[in-house]
Amino acid sequence: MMEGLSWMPRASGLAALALIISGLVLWFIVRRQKERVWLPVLRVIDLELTVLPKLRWVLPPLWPLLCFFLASLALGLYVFEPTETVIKGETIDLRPTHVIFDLSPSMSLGITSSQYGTAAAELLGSLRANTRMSFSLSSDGVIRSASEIDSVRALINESGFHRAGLKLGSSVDAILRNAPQIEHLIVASDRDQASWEDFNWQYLEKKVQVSWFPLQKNRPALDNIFIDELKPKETVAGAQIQGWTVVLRRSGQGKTLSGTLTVQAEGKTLGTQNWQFEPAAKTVEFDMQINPSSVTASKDEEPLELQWILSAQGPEDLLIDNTFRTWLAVKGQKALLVAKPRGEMFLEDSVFHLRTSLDVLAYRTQRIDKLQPSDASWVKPSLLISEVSPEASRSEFCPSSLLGKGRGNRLQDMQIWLVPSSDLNNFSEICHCFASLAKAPEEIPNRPAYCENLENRDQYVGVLQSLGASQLGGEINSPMGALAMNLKNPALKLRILAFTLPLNPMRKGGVSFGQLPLMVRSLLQFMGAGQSATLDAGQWPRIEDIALNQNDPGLAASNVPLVESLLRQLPFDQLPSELSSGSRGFVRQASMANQELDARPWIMLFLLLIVIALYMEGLGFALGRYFRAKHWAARWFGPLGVILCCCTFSPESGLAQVKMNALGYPQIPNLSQLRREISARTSIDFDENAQQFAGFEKALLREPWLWSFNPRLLDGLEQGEWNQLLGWLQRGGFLIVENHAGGERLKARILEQIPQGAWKPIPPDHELMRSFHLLASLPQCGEWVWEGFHFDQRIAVVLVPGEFFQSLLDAQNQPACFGKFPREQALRVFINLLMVSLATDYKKDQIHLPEILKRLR
Amino acid sequence: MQETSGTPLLGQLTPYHGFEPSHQRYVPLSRFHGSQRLNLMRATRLPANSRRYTAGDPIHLIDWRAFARNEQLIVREQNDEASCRVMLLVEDSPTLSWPDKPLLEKLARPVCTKRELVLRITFHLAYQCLRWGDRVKVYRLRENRAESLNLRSQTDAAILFDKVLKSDFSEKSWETHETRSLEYIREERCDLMFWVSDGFSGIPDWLLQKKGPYACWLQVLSSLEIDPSWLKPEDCYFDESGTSREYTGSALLQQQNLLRALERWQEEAQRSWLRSHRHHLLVHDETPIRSFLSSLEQPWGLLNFGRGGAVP
Repeated sequence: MMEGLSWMPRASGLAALALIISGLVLWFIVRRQKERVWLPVLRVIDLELTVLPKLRWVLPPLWPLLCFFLASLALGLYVFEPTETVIKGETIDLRPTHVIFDLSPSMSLGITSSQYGTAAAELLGSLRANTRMSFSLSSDGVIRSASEIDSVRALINESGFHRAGLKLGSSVDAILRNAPQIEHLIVASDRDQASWEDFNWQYLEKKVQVSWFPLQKNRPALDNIFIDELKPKETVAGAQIQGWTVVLRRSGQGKTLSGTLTVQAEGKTLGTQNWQFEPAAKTVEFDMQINPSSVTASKDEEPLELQWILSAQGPEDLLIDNTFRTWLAVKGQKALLVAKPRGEMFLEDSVFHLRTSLDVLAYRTQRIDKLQPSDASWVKPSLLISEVSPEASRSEFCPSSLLGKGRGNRLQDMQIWLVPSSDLNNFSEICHCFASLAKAPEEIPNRPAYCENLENRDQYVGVLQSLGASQLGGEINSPMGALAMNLKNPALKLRILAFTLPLNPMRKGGVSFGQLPLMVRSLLQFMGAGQSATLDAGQWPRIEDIALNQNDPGLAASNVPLVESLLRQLPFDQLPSELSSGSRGFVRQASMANQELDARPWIMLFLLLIVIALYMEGLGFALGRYFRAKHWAARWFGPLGVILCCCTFSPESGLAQVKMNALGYPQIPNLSQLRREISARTSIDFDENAQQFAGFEKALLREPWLWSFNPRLLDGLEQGEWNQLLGWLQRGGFLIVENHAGGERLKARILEQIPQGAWKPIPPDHELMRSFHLLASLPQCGEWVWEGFHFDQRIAVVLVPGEFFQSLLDAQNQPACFGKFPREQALRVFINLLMVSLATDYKKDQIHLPEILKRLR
Repeated sequence: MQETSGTPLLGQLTPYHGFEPSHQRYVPLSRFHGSQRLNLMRATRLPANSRRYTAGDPIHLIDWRAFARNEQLIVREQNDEASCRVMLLVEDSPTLSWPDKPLLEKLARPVCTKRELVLRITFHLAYQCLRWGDRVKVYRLRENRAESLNLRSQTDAAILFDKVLKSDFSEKSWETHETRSLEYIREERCDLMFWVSDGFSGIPDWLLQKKGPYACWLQVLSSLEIDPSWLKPEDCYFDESGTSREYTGSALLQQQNLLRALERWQEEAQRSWLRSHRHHLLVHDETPIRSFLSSLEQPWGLLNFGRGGAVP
């Protein structure tokens, strides 16, 4: 293991050496002083003897001394940072070596792509003579051989830094899958946490030697400003001015920064706004108005790309994320109506009112007389409505005619409405159409027997039901009164709605002219196509891993991920050994310090043993002196010691004990009843005395869970307290915040500190719904629902609407917003919360499955 | 404190261990009030007090009438008595704290400190002298000053001893009355002087030069100093006053190095004391009380028991 290592004596190493030597000296001085006796007669007598030297050798106790030497050895190995020459200048390294060049956005800090290309060419040039090498760029992931080394500069210049993020773990995985012979992997990257966080290089080092080569020699540490969020406001279609909520964020703090934000589209400036960060502010939020009408008028079909360009006054860290892209489009989904004209007047047209209703609902409608497979005049709609009239043949109205002719994809993921005309008296054709759509892509050329002779509506509905269609509208379990029959074709993701009545305002169906658009909207919402906001807008995605999205067409236009913009850096001790080139070739720094077996735990263990040994020695010495003249002590020491040891192990309750830490609550009464109920149902010993705190204290974090009366109590925490709370959350703490209306700031703050987590409403299949009791739902307080912050594969924060705990304590005075919410239900939710806080999702591990199966049998 | 097989040792000495000074029998007069007779000479015509003139006698005591009658110089003097002035000088040095507590715990032997022994002897002498009617002054010598104890009667001595006994003979256990300079002590007249010390700080010059009184050095050592056989060869023994010295126990025990050096030092110290004064007595905590008292009962001319030896 030690072969090929050279040692780098640095200040820390010398300090460690001095510490070890002084420890040894102190050891022997202490040993010497323990045996000294004062003898004053020596001052008057004259002795011709050798005066004792100041230091003398006394053999110390063996085990502490051994631990001391082992700890010293481990400390020395750790701090002296051994380096290993991996690629010597004069010899050839036969291992296949691969270099990955990281071109993620954070790499563009302080270096241009041409400088990067030059540095990369130099690195590859140094390696080429001594290794069997290959390389790849993170922008495309293609493994290139040594013969392409000369083109690396041009390749990097051409591709530049990509806007998507990079996850080294998946990139390396892809490379090793294609080239498993690689034995030495060199990652030319920075210390960006976003790039390294998924890369378990410690595990990989068992098979492949992993080295880190920093290409950025001088990385400036400025304040990076970027767009955190852009949210469009509700805008009515056709409005000239559109409002956006802009959230800017900075990675640093402490200085006043200002600049402008410009919005451009197709080279035209749509709006400009100034912004300013106060020294203590991390984020700035403001509203911005833009006028997209001048450029959206001609772009009805395609979304308009907006570029939000940040420009700061003064130096700024990362420039690539100063441009943020969003899109803007009139959402209008397309609807294709297939109906034969009946006359000139609109009253004679059976689908006129339907088309008007769809127009009102912002659908872009197109009407054709009949479907023709070769007709390219219409584009794929999201909704196809076909009216079936008596004289129309099936091929003219039925979209199944489009199947099997190379245009099957035109029907995929579409909704198809089959509407009988008011004068339809034979349902055989429409039945045939429904059947062929339901069975697609299987073709049914001939009319099935069950579609024969369907002369009235009831027969038609009966067949549809037998085909598996479900009732829509009408009374329950009375399909004859159904408005339509609904069926899904999973193969083509088709939603087929076969109406049993014409979609016209008519007295018979009870649909007036005013009710028709409302009914159509309800139908669209039910079918999942009703989100017909007039003006749609959104952000281009932030792609965090380019390796998984190489084929994404939006890759080039994607926005820089937040984790890249934050510029968080990984500490050196979590990185692989650093590779650097020197006169002897390439050396790996600290090649032992970062091994999987880190020396630090051993150092701590040995130091602990030394402390215990010294403590025992001191205790033994003190006891020995105290009991020196007491001969009975020697006889009773053993039995007495055993008895004392036994006394220290008092029997403890087998129950888990939990206290309720409450922050900011008004008076909480004694919880004895709650304790009794919890103890009766579970093995948890719940403390009846809640610990109440008016403000944040460290004692709050001593229990596995913490209740906060509202989010504002946590909003106002100072940075130190906030860090303590976050550390507690990351160590496994479980935070419950009640009355979370208006807690957006808390959510944003938590998300900012733990960007890998996510807020989402608690789904019905969450472990909270089944951790002890099986719950059907959680009580909703008005519009507010229960939300959870999911992080590290568990739920760490729960936002509870309303005063849930109050409803548990006082069944009579329940908060009105919960509606009808029995106390038993509240108690079940509370117990489930308690179980999740103690055991998270323990039910997922299926450890109880054998027992459950056994009981079921 | 100490306990041997029936023989009371000096470590158990109290003020109430009485003895009778032998020279009292030479002064059997009823007016005698002290432990020492003094000649207070004055002219008298009583023939009982006549003697022949010897050279140096005061001329005014010559009975000239008698010279005229028989041509013989007759001196007529009258002897009178007064209380004896006794001064007890106790040298309180840090070495009196030895053997210290850690050593005693280590040895696990019931040995008293030298300070305890010094205090026992001092209060014993003071009490006995006060009992005989002497005027007693006790001074505690510390560095360059002398602190006096207020002892006017036997009761005072008994009360103070009781207090010191309760305080376990600690350094701060005895209260002094007033502080005087060494100049004052040097000039103060007395008839008997006892210097109680271990002698580790040397004999002060002014003490050697003090003329007039009968002076006795009661040298107090610890039995552990007299007999160093308790030393352990593997331990270190040090003293850091003046020049720092530290020896291993084996070196001190080898060839009785320590014992011999101690005897040499003691002979030298005794010799230098006896050059100026006549009396020296060496005691330690294992000296029998009876031997100590019998030494004190000897006439002052014989007090230096064996001259250069110690009380057995």
